[in-house]
Amino acid sequence: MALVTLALQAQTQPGSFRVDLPPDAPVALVSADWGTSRVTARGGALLLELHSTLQLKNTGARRIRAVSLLVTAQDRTPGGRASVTVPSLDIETSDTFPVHIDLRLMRPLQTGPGAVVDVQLDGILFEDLAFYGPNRMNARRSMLAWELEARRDRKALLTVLERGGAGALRNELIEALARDSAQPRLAVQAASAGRATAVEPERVVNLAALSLPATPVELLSGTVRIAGDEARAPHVVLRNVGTKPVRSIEVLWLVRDAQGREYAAGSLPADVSLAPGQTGSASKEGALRFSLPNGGPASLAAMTGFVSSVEFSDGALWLPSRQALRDPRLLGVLPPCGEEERLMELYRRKGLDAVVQQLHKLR
Amino acid sequence: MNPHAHHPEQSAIALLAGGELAWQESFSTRLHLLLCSRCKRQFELFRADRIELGDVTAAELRQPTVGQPGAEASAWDDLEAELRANIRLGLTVGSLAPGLAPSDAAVEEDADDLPSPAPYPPWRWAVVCGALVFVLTAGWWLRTPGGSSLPVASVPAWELPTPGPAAGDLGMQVLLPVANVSRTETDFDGSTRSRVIDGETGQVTLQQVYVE
Repeated sequence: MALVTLALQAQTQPGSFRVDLPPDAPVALVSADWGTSRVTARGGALLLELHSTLQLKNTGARRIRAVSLLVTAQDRTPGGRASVTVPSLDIETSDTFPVHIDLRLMRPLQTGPGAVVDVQLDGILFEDLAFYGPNRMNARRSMLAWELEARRDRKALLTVLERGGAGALRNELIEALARDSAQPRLAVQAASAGRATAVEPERVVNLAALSLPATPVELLSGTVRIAGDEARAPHVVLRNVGTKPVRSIEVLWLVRDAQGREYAAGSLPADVSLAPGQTGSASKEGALRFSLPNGGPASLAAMTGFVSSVEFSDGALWLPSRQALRDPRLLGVLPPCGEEERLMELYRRKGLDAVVQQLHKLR
Repeated sequence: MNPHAHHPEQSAIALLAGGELAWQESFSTRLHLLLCSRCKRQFELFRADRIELGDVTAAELRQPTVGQPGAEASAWDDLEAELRANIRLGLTVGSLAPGLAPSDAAVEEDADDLPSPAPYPPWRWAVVCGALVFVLTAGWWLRTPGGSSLPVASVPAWELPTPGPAAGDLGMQVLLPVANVSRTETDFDGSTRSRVIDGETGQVTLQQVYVE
Protein backbone atom coordinates (compact mmCIF):
# COMPACT_ATOMS: atom_id res chain seq x y z
CA MET A 1 0.00 0.00 0.00
CA ALA A 2 2.84 2.36 0.89
CA LEU A 3 4.47 1.53 -2.43
CA VAL A 4 1.29 2.41 -4.29
CA THR A 5 1.02 5.71 -2.42
CA LEU A 6 4.64 6.56 -3.19
CA ALA A 7 4.14 5.66 -6.84
CA LEU A 8 1.05 7.86 -7.06
CA GLN A 9 2.81 10.77 -5.38
CA ALA A 10 5.75 10.48 -7.74
CA GLN A 11 3.51 10.34 -10.76
CA THR A 12 1.22 13.22 -9.90
CA GLN A 13 4.00 15.75 -9.40
CA PRO A 14 4.19 18.69 -11.80
CA GLY A 15 5.82 17.42 -14.98
CA SER A 16 3.86 14.17 -14.93
CA PHE A 17 1.97 15.43 -17.95
CA ARG A 18 4.26 16.38 -20.82
CA VAL A 19 3.47 18.08 -24.11
CA ASP A 20 6.19 17.40 -26.60
CA LEU A 21 5.94 19.21 -29.95
CA PRO A 22 8.71 19.02 -32.57
CA PRO A 23 10.76 22.24 -32.77
CA ASP A 24 9.98 22.63 -36.47
CA ALA A 25 6.24 22.06 -36.01
CA PRO A 26 3.95 24.77 -37.39
CA VAL A 27 2.22 24.94 -33.99
CA ALA A 28 3.61 25.88 -30.59
CA LEU A 29 2.30 25.27 -27.10
CA VAL A 30 1.13 28.47 -25.42
CA SER A 31 -0.25 26.94 -22.23
CA ALA A 32 -1.40 23.63 -20.78
CA ASP A 33 -4.06 23.49 -18.10
CA TRP A 34 -4.44 20.00 -16.65
CA GLY A 35 -7.48 21.07 -14.63
CA THR A 36 -8.89 18.28 -12.54
CA SER A 37 -6.83 15.50 -14.11
CA ARG A 38 -6.10 12.78 -11.62
CA VAL A 39 -4.30 9.50 -11.25
CA THR A 40 -5.71 6.66 -9.17
CA ALA A 41 -4.49 3.14 -8.55
CA ARG A 42 -6.69 0.25 -9.67
CA GLY A 43 -5.17 -3.08 -8.78
CA GLY A 44 -1.89 -3.33 -10.62
CA ALA A 45 -2.63 -0.42 -12.92
CA LEU A 46 -2.97 3.33 -12.85
CA LEU A 47 -6.19 4.86 -14.04
CA LEU A 48 -5.52 8.27 -15.55
CA GLU A 49 -8.44 10.61 -15.87
CA LEU A 50 -7.34 13.46 -18.07
CA HIS A 51 -9.13 16.79 -18.33
CA SER A 52 -6.98 19.29 -20.06
CA THR A 53 -7.08 22.30 -22.31
CA LEU A 54 -4.00 22.99 -24.36
CA GLN A 55 -3.67 26.36 -26.05
CA LEU A 56 -1.78 26.01 -29.32
CA LYS A 57 -0.57 28.75 -31.65
CA ASN A 58 -0.26 28.57 -35.42
CA THR A 59 3.37 29.50 -35.98
CA GLY A 60 3.41 28.49 -39.64
CA ALA A 61 2.50 30.43 -42.75
CA ARG A 62 -0.59 28.43 -43.77
CA ARG A 63 -4.11 28.29 -42.37
CA ILE A 64 -4.73 25.21 -40.23
CA ARG A 65 -7.84 23.14 -40.86
CA ALA A 66 -7.27 20.27 -38.41
CA VAL A 67 -4.87 19.13 -35.71
CA SER A 68 -4.35 15.67 -34.25
CA LEU A 69 -2.51 14.87 -31.04
CA LEU A 70 -1.35 11.51 -29.78
CA VAL A 71 -1.88 11.01 -26.03
CA THR A 72 0.19 8.15 -24.64
CA ALA A 73 0.15 6.74 -21.15
CA GLN A 74 1.73 3.44 -22.14
CA ASP A 75 2.34 2.21 -25.66
CA ARG A 76 1.88 -1.49 -25.04
CA THR A 77 -1.05 -1.42 -22.62
CA PRO A 78 -4.54 -1.83 -24.05
CA GLY A 79 -6.25 1.49 -23.44
CA GLY A 80 -2.91 3.22 -22.94
CA ARG A 81 -3.03 5.28 -26.11
CA ALA A 82 -5.49 7.74 -27.56
CA SER A 83 -5.72 10.38 -30.22
CA VAL A 84 -7.45 13.73 -29.99
CA THR A 85 -8.31 15.44 -33.26
CA VAL A 86 -9.84 18.86 -33.79
CA PRO A 87 -11.25 19.24 -37.32
CA SER A 88 -13.24 22.08 -38.94
CA LEU A 89 -10.75 24.71 -37.81
CA ASP A 90 -9.84 27.92 -39.58
CA ILE A 91 -6.74 29.14 -37.79
CA GLU A 92 -4.72 31.93 -39.31
CA THR A 93 -1.00 32.49 -38.74
CA SER A 94 -0.27 33.66 -35.17
CA ASP A 95 -3.77 32.80 -33.95
CA THR A 96 -4.20 30.56 -30.90
CA PHE A 97 -6.81 27.86 -30.43
CA PRO A 98 -7.75 25.40 -27.68
CA VAL A 99 -7.57 21.61 -27.80
CA HIS A 100 -9.65 19.87 -25.14
CA ILE A 101 -8.63 16.47 -23.84
CA ASP A 102 -11.16 14.45 -21.83
CA LEU A 103 -9.95 10.86 -21.65
CA ARG A 104 -9.53 7.93 -19.32
CA LEU A 105 -6.41 5.88 -19.96
CA MET A 106 -4.61 3.00 -18.28
CA ARG A 107 -0.96 2.27 -17.59
CA PRO A 108 0.82 -0.27 -15.44
CA LEU A 109 1.64 0.79 -11.91
CA GLN A 110 5.32 1.59 -11.97
CA THR A 111 7.67 4.21 -10.62
CA GLY A 112 9.97 4.46 -13.61
CA PRO A 113 11.22 7.83 -14.80
CA GLY A 114 9.41 9.93 -17.33
CA ALA A 115 6.03 11.55 -17.62
CA VAL A 116 2.84 9.65 -16.83
CA VAL A 117 1.22 11.07 -19.93
CA ASP A 118 2.92 12.23 -23.08
CA VAL A 119 1.14 14.42 -25.62
CA GLN A 120 2.70 14.54 -29.06
CA LEU A 121 1.73 15.97 -32.40
CA ASP A 122 0.44 13.35 -34.85
CA GLY A 123 -0.56 15.59 -37.68
CA ILE A 124 -1.76 18.92 -39.02
CA LEU A 125 -3.96 19.42 -42.07
CA PHE A 126 -3.71 22.76 -43.84
CA GLU A 127 -6.23 24.67 -45.91
CA ASP A 128 -4.61 23.42 -49.15
CA LEU A 129 -4.97 19.81 -47.82
CA ALA A 130 -1.20 19.49 -47.35
CA PHE A 131 -0.23 17.45 -44.30
CA TYR A 132 2.48 17.74 -41.66
CA GLY A 133 3.33 15.18 -39.00
CA PRO A 134 4.44 11.63 -38.24
CA ASN A 135 0.94 10.24 -38.89
CA ARG A 136 1.40 7.35 -36.45
CA MET A 137 -2.31 6.82 -35.86
CA ASN A 138 -3.33 7.52 -39.45
CA ALA A 139 -4.47 11.02 -38.56
CA ARG A 140 -4.06 12.19 -42.13
CA ARG A 141 -6.76 9.88 -43.40
CA SER A 142 -9.33 10.78 -40.75
CA MET A 143 -8.65 14.53 -40.97
CA LEU A 144 -8.76 14.51 -44.76
CA ALA A 145 -12.00 12.50 -44.77
CA TRP A 146 -13.59 14.94 -42.34
CA GLU A 147 -12.41 17.97 -44.35
CA LEU A 148 -13.63 16.60 -47.68
CA GLU A 149 -17.00 15.63 -46.18
CA ALA A 150 -17.24 19.05 -44.56
CA ARG A 151 -16.55 20.83 -47.86
CA ARG A 152 -19.12 18.64 -49.60
CA ASP A 153 -21.81 19.36 -47.01
CA ARG A 154 -21.08 23.08 -46.67
CA LYS A 155 -21.24 23.42 -50.44
CA ALA A 156 -24.62 21.68 -50.52
CA LEU A 157 -26.01 23.91 -47.76
CA LEU A 158 -24.61 27.01 -49.43
CA THR A 159 -26.38 25.99 -52.64
CA VAL A 160 -29.64 25.65 -50.68
CA LEU A 161 -29.08 29.11 -49.22
CA GLU A 162 -28.30 30.73 -52.56
CA ARG A 163 -31.20 29.09 -54.37
CA GLY A 164 -33.92 29.22 -51.73
CA GLY A 165 -32.82 31.90 -49.29
CA ALA A 166 -32.59 31.78 -45.50
CA GLY A 167 -35.96 30.06 -45.18
CA ALA A 168 -34.88 27.13 -47.31
CA LEU A 169 -31.65 26.73 -45.35
CA ARG A 170 -33.58 26.87 -42.10
CA ASN A 171 -35.99 24.19 -43.31
CA GLU A 172 -33.06 22.00 -44.37
CA LEU A 173 -31.52 22.28 -40.90
CA ILE A 174 -34.80 21.65 -39.12
CA GLU A 175 -35.45 18.58 -41.24
CA ALA A 176 -31.97 17.28 -40.43
CA LEU A 177 -32.53 17.90 -36.71
CA ALA A 178 -35.89 16.14 -36.86
CA ARG A 179 -34.39 13.14 -38.68
CA ASP A 180 -31.60 12.93 -36.16
CA SER A 181 -33.86 13.06 -33.13
CA ALA A 182 -36.25 10.49 -34.64
CA GLN A 183 -33.42 8.11 -35.44
CA PRO A 184 -33.48 4.85 -33.53
CA ARG A 185 -30.27 4.26 -31.61
CA LEU A 186 -28.63 1.31 -29.98
CA ALA A 187 -25.98 1.41 -27.33
CA VAL A 188 -22.92 -0.55 -28.40
CA GLN A 189 -20.30 -2.10 -26.16
CA ALA A 190 -17.34 -4.30 -26.90
CA ALA A 191 -18.07 -7.79 -25.63
CA SER A 192 -15.40 -10.16 -24.41
CA ALA A 193 -14.45 -12.52 -27.20
CA GLY A 194 -15.55 -16.07 -26.67
CA ARG A 195 -17.88 -15.29 -23.81
CA ALA A 196 -21.23 -16.96 -24.30
CA THR A 197 -23.66 -14.72 -22.50
CA ALA A 198 -26.45 -14.92 -24.99
CA VAL A 199 -29.13 -17.50 -24.47
CA GLU A 200 -29.66 -17.90 -28.20
CA PRO A 201 -27.22 -20.11 -30.12
CA GLU A 202 -24.66 -18.46 -32.37
CA ARG A 203 -25.38 -18.49 -36.10
CA VAL A 204 -23.47 -17.29 -39.13
CA VAL A 205 -25.39 -14.60 -40.97
CA ASN A 206 -24.61 -13.46 -44.48
CA LEU A 207 -24.06 -9.76 -44.67
CA ALA A 208 -26.40 -7.88 -46.97
CA ALA A 209 -24.09 -5.83 -49.19
CA LEU A 210 -25.24 -2.39 -50.26
CA SER A 211 -23.39 -0.70 -53.10
CA LEU A 212 -23.32 3.09 -53.36
CA PRO A 213 -23.08 4.76 -56.78
CA ALA A 214 -19.54 5.33 -58.12
CA THR A 215 -17.88 3.31 -55.38
CA PRO A 216 -14.35 2.25 -56.39
CA VAL A 217 -14.51 -0.79 -54.08
CA GLU A 218 -17.47 -3.13 -54.07
CA LEU A 219 -18.50 -5.17 -51.08
CA LEU A 220 -19.10 -8.57 -52.69
CA SER A 221 -20.15 -10.57 -49.65
CA GLY A 222 -19.57 -10.96 -45.97
CA THR A 223 -20.47 -12.87 -42.87
CA VAL A 224 -20.94 -12.08 -39.23
CA ARG A 225 -21.66 -14.41 -36.30
CA ILE A 226 -24.76 -13.35 -34.38
CA ALA A 227 -25.98 -14.65 -31.05
CA GLY A 228 -28.82 -12.78 -29.40
CA ASP A 229 -27.57 -9.26 -28.78
CA GLU A 230 -23.99 -9.96 -29.86
CA ALA A 231 -22.33 -9.76 -33.27
CA ARG A 232 -18.80 -11.05 -33.66
CA ALA A 233 -15.97 -11.66 -36.10
CA PRO A 234 -17.13 -9.80 -39.23
CA HIS A 235 -15.56 -10.91 -42.47
CA VAL A 236 -16.01 -9.08 -45.78
CA VAL A 237 -14.93 -9.83 -49.35
CA LEU A 238 -14.14 -6.80 -51.49
CA ARG A 239 -13.20 -6.05 -55.07
CA ASN A 240 -11.40 -3.02 -56.41
CA VAL A 241 -13.59 -1.98 -59.37
CA GLY A 242 -11.75 1.32 -59.88
CA THR A 243 -8.58 2.23 -61.73
CA LYS A 244 -6.29 3.07 -58.82
CA PRO A 245 -4.69 0.81 -56.21
CA VAL A 246 -6.37 0.95 -52.81
CA ARG A 247 -4.69 0.81 -49.39
CA SER A 248 -7.56 1.10 -46.92
CA ILE A 249 -11.34 1.11 -46.75
CA GLU A 250 -14.06 1.71 -44.22
CA VAL A 251 -17.29 -0.30 -44.10
CA LEU A 252 -20.33 1.10 -42.30
CA TRP A 253 -22.68 -1.34 -40.55
CA LEU A 254 -26.41 -1.30 -40.16
CA VAL A 255 -28.07 -3.86 -37.90
CA ARG A 256 -31.68 -4.98 -38.08
CA ASP A 257 -33.41 -6.24 -34.98
CA ALA A 258 -36.05 -8.94 -34.75
CA GLN A 259 -38.78 -6.29 -35.13
CA GLY A 260 -37.33 -5.16 -38.46
CA ARG A 261 -35.98 -1.81 -37.23
CA GLU A 262 -32.62 -0.73 -38.63
CA TYR A 263 -29.89 1.03 -36.72
CA ALA A 264 -26.47 2.44 -37.57
CA ALA A 265 -24.03 0.20 -35.75
CA GLY A 266 -20.61 1.67 -36.37
CA SER A 267 -17.81 1.16 -38.81
CA LEU A 268 -15.09 -1.27 -39.71
CA PRO A 269 -11.92 0.46 -40.87
CA ALA A 270 -9.50 -1.96 -42.49
CA ASP A 271 -6.13 -1.81 -44.22
CA VAL A 272 -6.37 -3.71 -47.49
CA SER A 273 -4.04 -3.77 -50.45
CA LEU A 274 -6.09 -4.05 -53.61
CA ALA A 275 -4.79 -3.48 -57.12
CA PRO A 276 -7.39 -2.52 -59.77
CA GLY A 277 -9.58 -5.54 -60.48
CA GLN A 278 -8.24 -7.46 -57.49
CA THR A 279 -10.41 -9.22 -54.92
CA GLY A 280 -9.44 -9.36 -51.26
CA SER A 281 -10.90 -9.71 -47.82
CA ALA A 282 -10.87 -8.01 -44.45
CA SER A 283 -11.92 -9.32 -41.08
CA LYS A 284 -11.91 -8.35 -37.43
CA GLU A 285 -11.80 -10.35 -34.26
CA GLY A 286 -13.82 -9.31 -31.27
CA ALA A 287 -17.50 -8.85 -30.62
CA LEU A 288 -20.00 -6.09 -30.08
CA ARG A 289 -23.01 -6.20 -27.82
CA PHE A 290 -26.05 -4.07 -28.67
CA SER A 291 -28.61 -2.85 -26.21
CA LEU A 292 -31.82 -0.88 -26.52
CA PRO A 293 -32.14 2.68 -25.15
CA ASN A 294 -33.96 1.27 -22.11
CA GLY A 295 -30.96 -0.93 -21.35
CA GLY A 296 -32.52 -4.19 -22.48
CA PRO A 297 -30.66 -6.45 -24.90
CA ALA A 298 -31.34 -5.93 -28.60
CA SER A 299 -32.24 -9.02 -30.57
CA LEU A 300 -30.17 -8.94 -33.74
CA ALA A 301 -31.57 -10.49 -36.90
CA ALA A 302 -29.40 -9.25 -39.76
CA MET A 303 -26.61 -6.91 -40.74
CA THR A 304 -26.03 -4.74 -43.79
CA GLY A 305 -22.75 -3.17 -44.82
CA PHE A 306 -21.50 -0.75 -47.43
CA VAL A 307 -18.17 0.80 -48.32
CA SER A 308 -18.25 4.34 -46.93
CA SER A 309 -14.74 5.52 -47.80
CA VAL A 310 -11.74 4.37 -49.79
CA GLU A 311 -8.15 5.53 -49.46
CA PHE A 312 -6.00 5.07 -52.55
CA SER A 313 -2.30 4.30 -52.50
CA ASP A 314 -1.47 7.87 -53.58
CA GLY A 315 -3.24 9.23 -50.48
CA ALA A 316 -6.35 10.44 -52.30
CA LEU A 317 -9.75 9.62 -50.79
CA TRP A 318 -13.09 8.59 -52.24
CA LEU A 319 -16.22 9.48 -50.30
CA PRO A 320 -19.83 8.91 -51.33
CA SER A 321 -21.75 11.88 -52.66
CA ARG A 322 -24.34 13.60 -50.50
CA GLN A 323 -26.93 12.41 -53.00
CA ALA A 324 -25.87 8.79 -52.51
CA LEU A 325 -26.24 9.10 -48.74
CA ARG A 326 -29.78 10.41 -49.26
CA ASP A 327 -30.84 6.97 -50.42
CA PRO A 328 -34.17 6.37 -48.61
CA ARG A 329 -32.74 3.21 -47.12
CA LEU A 330 -29.94 5.17 -45.44
CA LEU A 331 -31.46 8.59 -44.80
CA GLY A 332 -33.39 7.72 -41.66
CA VAL A 333 -30.73 5.40 -40.28
CA LEU A 334 -27.30 6.96 -40.77
CA PRO A 335 -26.25 9.68 -38.35
CA PRO A 336 -25.53 13.07 -39.90
CA CYS A 337 -21.99 13.61 -41.14
CA GLY A 338 -19.72 15.48 -38.75
CA GLU A 339 -19.83 18.94 -40.31
CA GLU A 340 -23.56 18.76 -40.89
CA GLU A 341 -24.07 17.87 -37.24
CA ARG A 342 -21.79 20.74 -36.18
CA LEU A 343 -23.83 23.21 -38.24
CA MET A 344 -27.10 21.73 -36.93
CA GLU A 345 -25.88 22.29 -33.38
CA LEU A 346 -24.74 25.82 -34.20
CA TYR A 347 -28.20 26.53 -35.59
CA ARG A 348 -29.88 25.09 -32.51
CA ARG A 349 -27.71 27.13 -30.14
CA LYS A 350 -26.96 30.31 -32.03
CA GLY A 351 -29.54 30.60 -34.78
CA LEU A 352 -29.45 30.79 -38.55
CA ASP A 353 -27.06 33.75 -38.78
CA ALA A 354 -24.26 31.76 -37.14
CA VAL A 355 -24.66 28.99 -39.73
CA VAL A 356 -24.77 31.41 -42.65
CA GLN A 357 -21.64 33.10 -41.33
CA GLN A 358 -19.82 29.75 -41.16
CA LEU A 359 -20.91 28.79 -44.68
CA HIS A 360 -19.55 32.05 -46.09
CA LYS A 361 -16.39 32.00 -44.00
CA LEU A 362 -15.37 28.45 -44.92
CA ARG A 363 -16.54 28.45 -48.54
CA MET B 1 -43.19 -8.94 15.43
CA ASN B 2 -42.38 -10.60 12.17
CA PRO B 3 -40.01 -8.29 10.33
CA HIS B 4 -40.81 -9.88 6.96
CA ALA B 5 -44.54 -9.30 7.25
CA HIS B 6 -44.51 -5.85 5.61
CA HIS B 7 -41.52 -5.14 3.42
CA PRO B 8 -41.17 -1.50 2.46
CA GLU B 9 -41.73 -0.56 -1.19
CA GLN B 10 -38.66 -0.77 -3.45
CA SER B 11 -39.08 2.94 -4.16
CA ALA B 12 -38.87 3.70 -0.44
CA ILE B 13 -35.63 1.73 -0.15
CA ALA B 14 -34.23 3.50 -3.21
CA LEU B 15 -35.17 6.90 -1.81
CA LEU B 16 -33.62 5.98 1.52
CA ALA B 17 -30.39 4.99 -0.25
CA GLY B 18 -30.33 8.42 -1.80
CA GLY B 19 -31.16 10.19 1.45
CA GLU B 20 -34.38 11.49 -0.01
CA LEU B 21 -37.00 9.67 2.06
CA ALA B 22 -39.21 11.71 4.41
CA TRP B 23 -38.05 11.33 8.00
CA GLN B 24 -41.12 9.47 9.30
CA GLU B 25 -40.85 6.82 6.58
CA SER B 26 -37.08 6.90 6.84
CA PHE B 27 -37.30 5.96 10.51
CA SER B 28 -39.62 3.01 9.98
CA THR B 29 -37.72 1.81 6.90
CA ARG B 30 -34.39 1.94 8.72
CA LEU B 31 -35.93 -0.03 11.54
CA HIS B 32 -37.11 -2.64 9.05
CA LEU B 33 -33.64 -2.85 7.48
CA LEU B 34 -32.16 -3.67 10.85
CA LEU B 35 -34.38 -6.73 11.03
CA CYS B 36 -34.66 -7.81 7.40
CA SER B 37 -31.52 -8.96 5.61
CA ARG B 38 -33.24 -9.13 2.22
CA CYS B 39 -34.27 -5.49 2.27
CA LYS B 40 -30.90 -4.49 3.67
CA ARG B 41 -29.22 -6.20 0.71
CA GLN B 42 -31.52 -4.29 -1.62
CA PHE B 43 -30.62 -1.07 0.17
CA GLU B 44 -26.89 -1.78 -0.24
CA LEU B 45 -27.38 -2.46 -3.95
CA PHE B 46 -29.20 0.84 -4.43
CA ARG B 47 -26.51 2.64 -2.53
CA ALA B 48 -23.74 1.01 -4.57
CA ASP B 49 -25.53 1.97 -7.81
CA ARG B 50 -25.87 5.49 -6.60
CA ILE B 51 -22.19 5.75 -5.76
CA GLU B 52 -21.28 4.30 -9.15
CA LEU B 53 -23.55 6.76 -10.93
CA GLY B 54 -22.23 9.50 -8.75
CA ASP B 55 -18.72 8.80 -10.03
CA VAL B 56 -19.89 9.46 -13.53
CA THR B 57 -22.23 12.33 -13.00
CA ALA B 58 -21.44 14.22 -9.86
CA ALA B 59 -18.14 15.66 -10.94
CA GLU B 60 -19.48 16.52 -14.35
CA LEU B 61 -22.73 17.99 -13.11
CA ARG B 62 -21.63 19.91 -10.07
CA GLN B 63 -18.14 21.02 -11.02
CA PRO B 64 -17.16 23.43 -13.73
CA THR B 65 -16.74 21.68 -17.06
CA VAL B 66 -13.06 21.59 -17.76
CA GLY B 67 -12.09 23.13 -21.00
CA GLN B 68 -15.20 25.18 -21.50
CA PRO B 69 -14.67 28.80 -22.46
CA GLY B 70 -14.26 30.35 -19.04
CA ALA B 71 -13.55 27.46 -16.73
CA GLU B 72 -15.98 28.87 -14.18
CA ALA B 73 -18.93 27.96 -16.39
CA SER B 74 -21.05 25.72 -14.21
CA ALA B 75 -23.18 22.74 -15.14
CA TRP B 76 -26.18 24.95 -14.54
CA ASP B 77 -24.98 27.38 -17.21
CA ASP B 78 -24.64 24.46 -19.60
CA LEU B 79 -28.13 23.28 -18.78
CA GLU B 80 -29.48 26.78 -19.26
CA ALA B 81 -27.83 27.04 -22.66
CA GLU B 82 -29.28 23.66 -23.61
CA LEU B 83 -32.77 24.76 -22.54
CA ARG B 84 -32.45 28.02 -24.44
CA ALA B 85 -31.38 26.17 -27.59
CA ASN B 86 -34.33 23.82 -27.33
CA ILE B 87 -36.78 26.64 -26.66
CA ARG B 88 -35.42 28.55 -29.66
CA LEU B 89 -35.82 25.49 -31.84
CA GLY B 90 -39.29 24.80 -30.48
CA LEU B 91 -40.40 28.36 -31.18
CA THR B 92 -38.99 28.21 -34.69
CA VAL B 93 -40.63 24.90 -35.49
CA GLY B 94 -43.89 26.02 -33.87
CA SER B 95 -43.95 29.14 -35.96
CA LEU B 96 -43.42 27.09 -39.09
CA ALA B 97 -46.68 25.22 -38.53
CA PRO B 98 -48.97 25.64 -41.56
CA GLY B 99 -50.93 28.83 -41.53
CA LEU B 100 -49.07 30.38 -38.66
CA ALA B 101 -46.06 31.91 -40.36
CA PRO B 102 -44.83 33.03 -43.75
CA SER B 103 -42.94 30.34 -45.56
CA ASP B 104 -39.48 31.70 -46.13
CA ALA B 105 -38.48 34.34 -43.64
CA ALA B 106 -36.54 33.73 -40.47
CA VAL B 107 -38.71 33.64 -37.40
CA GLU B 108 -36.63 36.11 -35.48
CA GLU B 109 -36.91 38.62 -38.29
CA ASP B 110 -40.63 38.01 -38.69
CA ALA B 111 -41.55 38.55 -35.08
CA ASP B 112 -41.82 42.32 -35.53
CA ASP B 113 -44.08 41.99 -38.55
CA LEU B 114 -46.80 39.93 -36.90
CA PRO B 115 -50.09 41.83 -36.27
CA SER B 116 -50.51 43.01 -32.67
CA PRO B 117 -52.92 40.85 -30.67
CA ALA B 118 -56.13 42.41 -29.30
CA PRO B 119 -55.65 43.86 -25.79
CA TYR B 120 -56.71 41.57 -22.96
CA PRO B 121 -59.58 42.68 -20.70
CA PRO B 122 -58.40 43.93 -17.27
CA TRP B 123 -59.96 41.00 -15.35
CA ARG B 124 -57.61 38.60 -17.15
CA TRP B 125 -54.61 40.55 -15.91
CA ALA B 126 -56.00 40.36 -12.37
CA VAL B 127 -56.34 36.57 -12.67
CA VAL B 128 -52.80 36.24 -14.01
CA CYS B 129 -51.38 38.46 -11.28
CA GLY B 130 -53.30 36.55 -8.61
CA ALA B 131 -51.98 33.22 -9.94
CA LEU B 132 -48.43 34.59 -10.00
CA VAL B 133 -48.67 35.80 -6.41
CA PHE B 134 -50.02 32.38 -5.40
CA VAL B 135 -47.19 30.52 -7.16
CA LEU B 136 -44.51 32.78 -5.69
CA THR B 137 -45.96 32.51 -2.19
CA ALA B 138 -46.27 28.74 -2.47
CA GLY B 139 -42.73 28.53 -3.82
CA TRP B 140 -41.37 30.59 -0.93
CA TRP B 141 -43.30 28.52 1.59
CA LEU B 142 -42.22 25.17 0.12
CA ARG B 143 -38.63 26.15 -0.61
CA THR B 144 -36.05 23.52 0.23
CA PRO B 145 -33.05 24.75 2.21
CA GLY B 146 -29.85 23.93 0.37
CA GLY B 147 -31.74 22.37 -2.47
CA SER B 148 -29.84 24.07 -5.24
CA SER B 149 -28.62 20.79 -6.66
CA LEU B 150 -32.12 19.58 -7.48
CA PRO B 151 -32.48 21.11 -10.94
CA VAL B 152 -29.07 19.81 -11.95
CA ALA B 153 -30.20 16.27 -11.34
CA SER B 154 -32.71 16.67 -14.13
CA VAL B 155 -30.06 16.82 -16.85
CA PRO B 156 -31.36 14.44 -19.53
CA ALA B 157 -29.96 10.95 -19.32
CA TRP B 158 -28.91 10.87 -22.95
CA GLU B 159 -26.13 13.28 -22.20
CA LEU B 160 -24.43 10.87 -19.86
CA PRO B 161 -21.47 9.07 -21.37
CA THR B 162 -22.31 5.72 -22.86
CA PRO B 163 -20.54 2.78 -21.27
CA GLY B 164 -17.01 2.29 -22.44
CA PRO B 165 -15.50 -0.96 -23.68
CA ALA B 166 -16.14 -4.19 -21.88
CA ALA B 167 -13.28 -3.63 -19.51
CA GLY B 168 -15.86 -2.17 -17.14
CA ASP B 169 -14.16 -0.91 -14.01
CA LEU B 170 -10.80 -1.05 -15.65
CA GLY B 171 -12.27 0.72 -18.64
CA MET B 172 -10.45 3.20 -20.78
CA GLN B 173 -12.76 5.57 -22.44
CA VAL B 174 -13.46 9.04 -23.61
CA LEU B 175 -15.07 11.19 -20.97
CA LEU B 176 -17.82 13.21 -22.55
CA PRO B 177 -18.60 16.67 -21.18
CA VAL B 178 -22.22 16.72 -20.08
CA ALA B 179 -23.39 19.82 -21.92
CA ASN B 180 -22.07 18.95 -25.34
CA VAL B 181 -23.53 16.91 -28.14
CA SER B 182 -21.68 13.70 -28.47
CA ARG B 183 -21.71 10.46 -30.34
CA THR B 184 -19.74 7.36 -29.43
CA GLU B 185 -18.78 4.38 -31.55
CA THR B 186 -17.16 1.17 -30.47
CA ASP B 187 -15.11 -1.00 -32.81
CA PHE B 188 -15.03 -4.78 -32.80
CA ASP B 189 -11.55 -4.66 -31.26
CA GLY B 190 -12.81 -2.56 -28.33
CA SER B 191 -11.46 0.81 -29.49
CA THR B 192 -13.80 3.65 -28.66
CA ARG B 193 -14.33 6.73 -30.79
CA SER B 194 -16.27 9.79 -29.85
CA ARG B 195 -17.30 13.01 -31.52
CA VAL B 196 -18.01 15.90 -29.19
CA ILE B 197 -19.43 19.20 -30.41
CA ASP B 198 -19.17 22.22 -28.17
CA GLY B 199 -22.49 23.92 -28.79
CA GLU B 200 -21.22 27.32 -27.72
CA THR B 201 -18.07 27.56 -29.82
CA GLY B 202 -18.95 25.02 -32.50
CA GLN B 203 -15.59 23.32 -31.97
CA VAL B 204 -15.52 19.61 -32.68
CA THR B 205 -13.24 17.20 -30.83
CA LEU B 206 -12.75 13.64 -32.07
CA GLN B 207 -11.25 11.31 -29.49
CA GLN B 208 -10.24 7.71 -29.95
CA VAL B 209 -8.89 5.29 -27.37
CA TYR B 210 -6.97 2.37 -28.86
CA VAL B 211 -6.75 -1.08 -27.40
CA GLU B 212 -4.34 -2.51 -29.96
